[in-house]
Amino acid sequence: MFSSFNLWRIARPMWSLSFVLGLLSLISGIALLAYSGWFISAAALAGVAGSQAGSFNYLRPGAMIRLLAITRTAGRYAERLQSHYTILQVLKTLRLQCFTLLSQRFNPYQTLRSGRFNALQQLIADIDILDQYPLKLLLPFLWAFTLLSLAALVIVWWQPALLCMVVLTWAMLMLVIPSVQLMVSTRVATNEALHQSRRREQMLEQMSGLTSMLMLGQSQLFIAEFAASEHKSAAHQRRLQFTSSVCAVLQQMTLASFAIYLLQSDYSPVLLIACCLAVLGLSEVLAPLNQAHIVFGNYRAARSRLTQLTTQPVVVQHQTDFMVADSTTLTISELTWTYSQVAALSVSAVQGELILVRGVSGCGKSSLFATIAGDLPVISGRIAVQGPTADISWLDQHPYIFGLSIAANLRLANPTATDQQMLNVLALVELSDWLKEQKSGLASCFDTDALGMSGGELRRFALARCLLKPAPILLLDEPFAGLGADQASRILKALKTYASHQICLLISHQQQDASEFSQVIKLEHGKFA
Amino acid sequence: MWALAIIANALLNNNEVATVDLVMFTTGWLLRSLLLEIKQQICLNASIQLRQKIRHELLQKLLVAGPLRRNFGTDGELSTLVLEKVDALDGYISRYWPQQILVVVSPLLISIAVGYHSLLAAVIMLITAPLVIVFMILVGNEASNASAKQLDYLARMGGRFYDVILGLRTLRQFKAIDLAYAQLADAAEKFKNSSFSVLRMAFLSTAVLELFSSLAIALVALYLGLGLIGELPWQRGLIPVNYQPALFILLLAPEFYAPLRQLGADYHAKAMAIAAAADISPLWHASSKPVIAGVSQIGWQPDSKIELHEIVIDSGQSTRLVLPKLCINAGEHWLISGESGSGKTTLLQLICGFWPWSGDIQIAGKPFSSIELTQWRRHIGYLHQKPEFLPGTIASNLQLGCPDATEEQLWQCLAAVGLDDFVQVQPEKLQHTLLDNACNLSAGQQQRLALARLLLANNPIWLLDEPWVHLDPDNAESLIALIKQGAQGRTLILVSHQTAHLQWIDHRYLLKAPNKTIDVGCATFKLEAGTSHVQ
Repeated sequence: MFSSFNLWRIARPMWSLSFVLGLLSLISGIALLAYSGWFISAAALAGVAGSQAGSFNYLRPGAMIRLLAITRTAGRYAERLQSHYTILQVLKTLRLQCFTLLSQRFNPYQTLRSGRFNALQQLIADIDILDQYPLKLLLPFLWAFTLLSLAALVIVWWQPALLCMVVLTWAMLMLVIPSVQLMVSTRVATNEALHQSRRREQMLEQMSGLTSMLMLGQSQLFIAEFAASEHKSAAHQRRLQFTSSVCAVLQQMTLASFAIYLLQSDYSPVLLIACCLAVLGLSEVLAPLNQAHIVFGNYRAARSRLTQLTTQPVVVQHQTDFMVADSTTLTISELTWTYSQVAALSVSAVQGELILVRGVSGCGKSSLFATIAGDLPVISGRIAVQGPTADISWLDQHPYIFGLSIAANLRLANPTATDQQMLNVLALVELSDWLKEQKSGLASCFDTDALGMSGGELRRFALARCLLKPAPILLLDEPFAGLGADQASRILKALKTYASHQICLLISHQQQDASEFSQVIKLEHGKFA
Repeated sequence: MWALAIIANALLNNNEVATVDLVMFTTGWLLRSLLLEIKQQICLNASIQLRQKIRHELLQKLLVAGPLRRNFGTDGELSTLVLEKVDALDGYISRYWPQQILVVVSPLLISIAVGYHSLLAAVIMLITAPLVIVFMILVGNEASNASAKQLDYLARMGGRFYDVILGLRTLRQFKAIDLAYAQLADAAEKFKNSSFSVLRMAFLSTAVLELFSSLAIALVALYLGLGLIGELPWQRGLIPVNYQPALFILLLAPEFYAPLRQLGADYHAKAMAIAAAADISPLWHASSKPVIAGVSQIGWQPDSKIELHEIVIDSGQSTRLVLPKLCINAGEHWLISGESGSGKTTLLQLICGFWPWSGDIQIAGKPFSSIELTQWRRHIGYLHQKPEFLPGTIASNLQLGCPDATEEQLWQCLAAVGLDDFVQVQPEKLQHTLLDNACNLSAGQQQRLALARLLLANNPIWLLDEPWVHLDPDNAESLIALIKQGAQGRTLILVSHQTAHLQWIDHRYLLKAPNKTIDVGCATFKLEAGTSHVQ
């Protein structure tokens, strides 16, 4: 899926144009040198006498040289432009593809650990590596291959006797040296790339325990751990550089020996010199191949990490029984669900009810909500919902606020919400004062304007967002965490009035006044009450 | 190159090509590539060493900062800083900077060599070089602005993408995945279209360089060639430069511009390195000396005190802590309460020696600024709201506080906190591995393990920062009971905004918030909601 072939295929015409432009530029560059050499040599041979005799036409070569100079420049500029433009196109496609993959396979029940943030940043870096790969390796390789083959063909066409030597040189440059390089070094390069990502995980792990290490007097552990991985990395880098150097020298040796072979032969000297210059000019084209192993190693590591995405199973959304009706009812019969520690649960509720769900940690309250919402499957029993729509508004334990404006965040819940509705719901959770303090009101952005919210304020905002969604069933998981008892009960009262046409289930650890609730479900290990 | 010219001359004159010249050519060519590679190796070594040193320094500063490292960013941002951004400096150190020297030295040498044979050719080359630079500066400013803008857009796009992926769960709950997809696609398309004009500018300096170098080669070739047939308009019939030197000059012409072209290619690396350095700069300028750097040892006796007078702690924009007077005797239990923003955690961090302060602090009769920090910290047992563990086993984490503890002692401490059954049940018992910050234990178990570590280390002073705040009521209650038991005979400073179950603490202190609008929440936001910037 992320193979080189696909990377090319995503923007095939654009890459092809890049290729052609680059080829043009490189050919012009080499031709410029060779042609100039030919011109000078021919001129020397003709001498003053030749020109006065009119047998040496110097105007055409002059024009040709100028033409080659311009083509080289224009070609290179156009190629750079085209290549970078194509990179942007590929980046867009790759990111959208990854987004689709992730959204289908994203399993929220993989624990939300710090490792996950790290994995996602790695994902972004990996997409960038894949994006740059055609430009860094595929195109240079194609250019080198085409030019070498063209050069070989031209030389053989000019002097068929050189076939053997030409083929030998071509094979050396295009087959032997790269193969040796790849065999020897790709593993090191891939290991180094993997080592880099492991290093980052290690760093995060160490840092999360930093204060404890300091307090317990173990801070040298921190430095020592890191120094060891640094040494390993440095050794890798040196080795990779060494391989590059060896390849470069080998390439130059091959070219030089071919040039010498040419120079010792008996052909027309002027053309010979031109030929020689061309051969020597090829070294510029071959240079990028020296780094091939490093680029390839990075690419392989990135590709393997990204491919892991596609091997995760697609997440299935489970349906609950739903019937359209004017008023809302929720009926749960003999339900057992994943992660639940209790025997079958039966609840029935009508609209306007506010239900408290309690229980010790680990007995499955949050997963009950997840099952009602359809994220987790029903093991046995049944959930039946009746109401105007099948939507469910669910505030879970780790709500995410995006780096967008306040209004944009709120509109996720209800794209057609008016400003007044948004103000109402913010007032309900007692965030009106906070809103007034923001410079741009509802348009203030979470990432650019430092909104500086505490944990409790963030939860209240997420609660407001949930309330904005016009769903008949409200599932609120710890909406009052981090709030004082007075504030919590005020918001609870306001919530009761607001949600009078909905059924609201609430999980809360705090001591709520039980009289506010129409039902209290207490989940205990083995039974419920 | 000179040898090559000799050979060519010989060929042209139908002479025997001397072997010596061939050998000279080969050696010269190979030597050139060898020396270039050696230079690369040396540059790499220099870069590795320099980066190691920089990293070491940064880590030291992080160590000094301790919990205050939040001021520089989240843990994720900091690790990117220390790892990837320091690596970004490599391009500048190993390529751009040495190249800058080469750009001056090499063309000068070449033009001297050329000038020996043909003044005019040398002059052509020498004039074009500064011209290139002048043009590049003219064009380059615009080009580098365009580059910087482009990099900035890219970073922001990346940040948006990261933001969206982090919130996939929320998006799915609000059935907004398709909406997000459409928005991403739209933004990427707009970005792509707008960047074409930006790229045009950004590559203009490359174009200028290529143009000049190509033209110079062309001009030199024409001049030399025309000269060889005596057709120079101002010198008809005369050959100013003979074949051999002419070819020599021609061969050198591309080499004259090669360093400059290389510099242009490495310019991007320079831009990235400068951006990275700007990001590293705040942490780099942080102090690498701890706040307290004294040498006096503390001997904590049953009659020692911690005395704080007129403490004010300012941090940049706001005041974090204002404390008129507090005196804690050894063996006392204190509850420090106050609303959020009053500086409770800051007070504990101050006592651990992480904050600079104004005011007077005496520990056991000695001024706080004169004590040796490592020794003082050994007296303190600290429990955070979220406990911290290192990768390893239960045993290794417990032994962090007391490396020579016997297995017997480990079991005793586990029993004291009620975790011995749990550990017995594990197949590897004490060697049971703790994953990623002990997420394979429940929150309640994590805190109890942290408490066991404290018991094992047996510190005389305990500083506890509301360790039960993320636990459910039952777990919280039992944790508090364990703390009450374990704190017998120790000095206890407990910080909390609630009072339930804490009636057994005899001394109370209420911290007043310095001012209402304190910016204590920013770091918390980043922790809870994840970063919305990508580095």
